[in-house]
Amino acid sequence: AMLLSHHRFLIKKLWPVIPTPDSKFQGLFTVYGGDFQEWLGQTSGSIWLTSPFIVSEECPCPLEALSELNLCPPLSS
Amino acid sequence: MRSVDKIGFTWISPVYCSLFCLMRENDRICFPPNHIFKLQDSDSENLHFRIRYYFPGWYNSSNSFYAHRYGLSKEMESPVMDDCVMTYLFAQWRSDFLNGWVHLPVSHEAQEECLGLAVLDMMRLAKESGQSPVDIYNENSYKSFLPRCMRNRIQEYNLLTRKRIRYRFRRFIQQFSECKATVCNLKLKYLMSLELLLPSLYSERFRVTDLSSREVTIVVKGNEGIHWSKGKGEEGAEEELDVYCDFPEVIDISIKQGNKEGSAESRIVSLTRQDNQILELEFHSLSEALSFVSLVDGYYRLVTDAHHYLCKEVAPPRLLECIQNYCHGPLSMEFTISKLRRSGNYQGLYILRCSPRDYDKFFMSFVVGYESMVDYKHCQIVKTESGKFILSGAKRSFGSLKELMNCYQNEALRTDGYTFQLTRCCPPSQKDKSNLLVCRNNQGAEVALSPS
Repeated sequence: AMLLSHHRFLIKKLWPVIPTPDSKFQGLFTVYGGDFQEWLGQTSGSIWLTSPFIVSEECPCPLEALSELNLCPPLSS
Repeated sequence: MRSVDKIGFTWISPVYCSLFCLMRENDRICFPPNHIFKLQDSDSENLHFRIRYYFPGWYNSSNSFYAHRYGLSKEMESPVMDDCVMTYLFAQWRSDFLNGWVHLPVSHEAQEECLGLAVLDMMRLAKESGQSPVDIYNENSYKSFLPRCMRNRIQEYNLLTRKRIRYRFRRFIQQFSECKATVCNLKLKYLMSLELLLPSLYSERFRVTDLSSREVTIVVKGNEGIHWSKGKGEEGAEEELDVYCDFPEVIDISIKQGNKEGSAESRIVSLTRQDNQILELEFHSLSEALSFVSLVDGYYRLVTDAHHYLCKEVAPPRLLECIQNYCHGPLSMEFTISKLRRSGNYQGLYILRCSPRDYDKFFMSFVVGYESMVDYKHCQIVKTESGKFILSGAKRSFGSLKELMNCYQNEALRTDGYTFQLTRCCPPSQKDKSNLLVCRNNQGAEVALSPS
């Protein structure tokens, strides 16, 4: 029995469980065929994918002051 | 030097500027947005422009607690940050993580998480440089994608085990060559993993004493508000945090000189809650006190009222300027028009606001036409490098926004075939919902006060 436990000890010492990145990507290759976006969306909920802030551009319009129209040449100040 | 919100990072839209701050490198203390740097010739100080305000889970729109910016309708809600800011955050967190600025557990689980992050990072680098991840692996030690404490941990394994780890890692990287991924998604996943692994990346802690000289740790988080625990609260150790209050419940903050002997630098911060409860905390230094106050003040503006400050001592200069001029922050066109509609929707009604795209531009948006024929126009006001304000289309320049508005308020104006006069300004009103505010869904402004 002592020999057996010694054997186990040696195995644990020489062949310990090692950290690998695999567990962090479960299903990426087996289920989603390497499609990262699909995998990310399915495993993390519907995430904001490609999100350029949807902002409608205003087209600025020039505004004239009628009192300035007959100022010629244009004054600055 | 100039204050924080005058620094023109042209690729960070003014809408997102309120997520940032300046941090001093040597003690990693954040400055309030109105800090004025006085530099002597011999001084040198390294500053980091950083994202300070963060809302965990902002990327997950299927979660009912996810944070987002208000939209006029459900479809128009937008993310807390755009891709530019996300890219900035990626660089910031990656650097904090790899340089060991945050405490990291070295458990087996954490080791796997770090290896997973290294895979994402190598893949990201491969995509950015048009190589295969195996090329990246061959050119760099995979350990250079791990934080130092993790490298040391792996170094403690014996030679055979290290070889096994390297072999398994390489095999996985090879598998990743087949993976279809965009740089943006890889960065996002990196951030999501870091958010789970290291909450201290987005929560700030302050060691203070309460008025009976007990040590208290204050923890501030974007999603949960202000928490505290008695005792030293060693980071990473088990600790019990009590909720003090969420940001919308704060109504005032003041800072005064500490009153104990031998602590000329210390400051007492008084935080008043809606229910008139006052929390008094003594900070060891003025800079820590200002850092805490500007943190709470900044979150308040992001979740409760974009045009309000809780403490004059840390109010952003740009905000003060806006308040003085009845000017809104970088409001989107949709919210501008909606506010004009709700405020009467008649010709001459106008809103002054900062441009959502340029730091040196403003918009004057106004209503023209009558009844069913109303239209909305947006006229630009440009601030020149010499500090003059010019209404585009008009001919004169002014020393301030106020002078400009005072002048044109009484003038007959013409645009696009309409001749009209400005009649009434819509200033920012209390707790206006807009694209400047982050909705956290978990706590609204109406939330009941926690019993105390």
